[in-house]
Amino acid sequence: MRLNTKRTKKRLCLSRGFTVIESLVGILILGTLFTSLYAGITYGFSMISLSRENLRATQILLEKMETLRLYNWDQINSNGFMPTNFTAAYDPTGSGNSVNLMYTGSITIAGSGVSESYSNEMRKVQISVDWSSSGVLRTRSMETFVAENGLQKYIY
Amino acid sequence: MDFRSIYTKRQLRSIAAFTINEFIVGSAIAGMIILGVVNVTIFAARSFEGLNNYIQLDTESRKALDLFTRDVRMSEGLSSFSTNKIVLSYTNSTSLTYEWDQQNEQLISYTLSETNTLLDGCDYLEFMIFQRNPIPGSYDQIPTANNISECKLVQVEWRTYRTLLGSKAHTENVQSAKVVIRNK
Repeated sequence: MRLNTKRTKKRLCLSRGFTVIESLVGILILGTLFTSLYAGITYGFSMISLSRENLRATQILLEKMETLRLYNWDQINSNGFMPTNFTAAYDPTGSGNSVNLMYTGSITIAGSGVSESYSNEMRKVQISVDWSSSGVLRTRSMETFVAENGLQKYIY
Repeated sequence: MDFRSIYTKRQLRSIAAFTINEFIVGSAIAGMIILGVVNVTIFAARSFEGLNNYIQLDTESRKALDLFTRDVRMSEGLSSFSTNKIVLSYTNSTSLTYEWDQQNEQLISYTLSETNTLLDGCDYLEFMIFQRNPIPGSYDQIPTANNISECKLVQVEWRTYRTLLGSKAHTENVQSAKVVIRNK
């Protein structure tokens, strides 16, 4: 006498474990997902970090541009009154958690480069800062003109 | 009478309960998977929160710095100064105060009729004022904390932070600016 079973082949198939190939493919997909997530987050942080460094570089450039208007014509043209190089810290308070990278900058004062009759009464000032971020050297610069009659003539 | 099962050994194994060894190995694997998923979830949550914090801090600081720069440039001078508070005066006899509320960690600006909170989570702020005269051989100006009538340049530095799961580490933002009073 034989006892028959109602378990179909399909049900038996469902109760089976995964094959090695299925497991490997699953692990591969999960690994790709987690690696992509990690890479995406890391990229996001690096972009924000670069944006913050850029912002600080802009602040340094603006500071120099802003104070440029406090010099008079003689001071701008006298060699050595304005130093040609400077350094500035990413965190001017020096108390941040992040690595305090340093910016090195330079100021170039040159002829205006215009052909008009007042060309000798103008100078072109270029300020640039360099810094190294993630092993890449980055540079930002700003240019402006200063005119003899546009600067202050008095000191108190 | 002889009863014989039609199940094969393999089929019997598939419908049998777990042995203790299978259960332990299964629990260990499940534990590792759950631990991994929890770690990834926490890491992702912290990272996204950190990104959000940095973006918020940058946005807030840029706006505050722009407003501060505009207000200082347009002013005619200072009528009061301390390292955490300046009062700017204007041609129409009005004044505008910038004050760091150290207790609430806020930078606020206010007139007689209006108060604005410019920064939240500001745990450091300092105002400095300088004369017009540059120091030869440097990019600095001569400080003038004792005489506000000589003030031509205002410098401000601040640091803001946001908390990340109760800690403020890695989520801070330092700003610094020098602004010239142009109407003086």
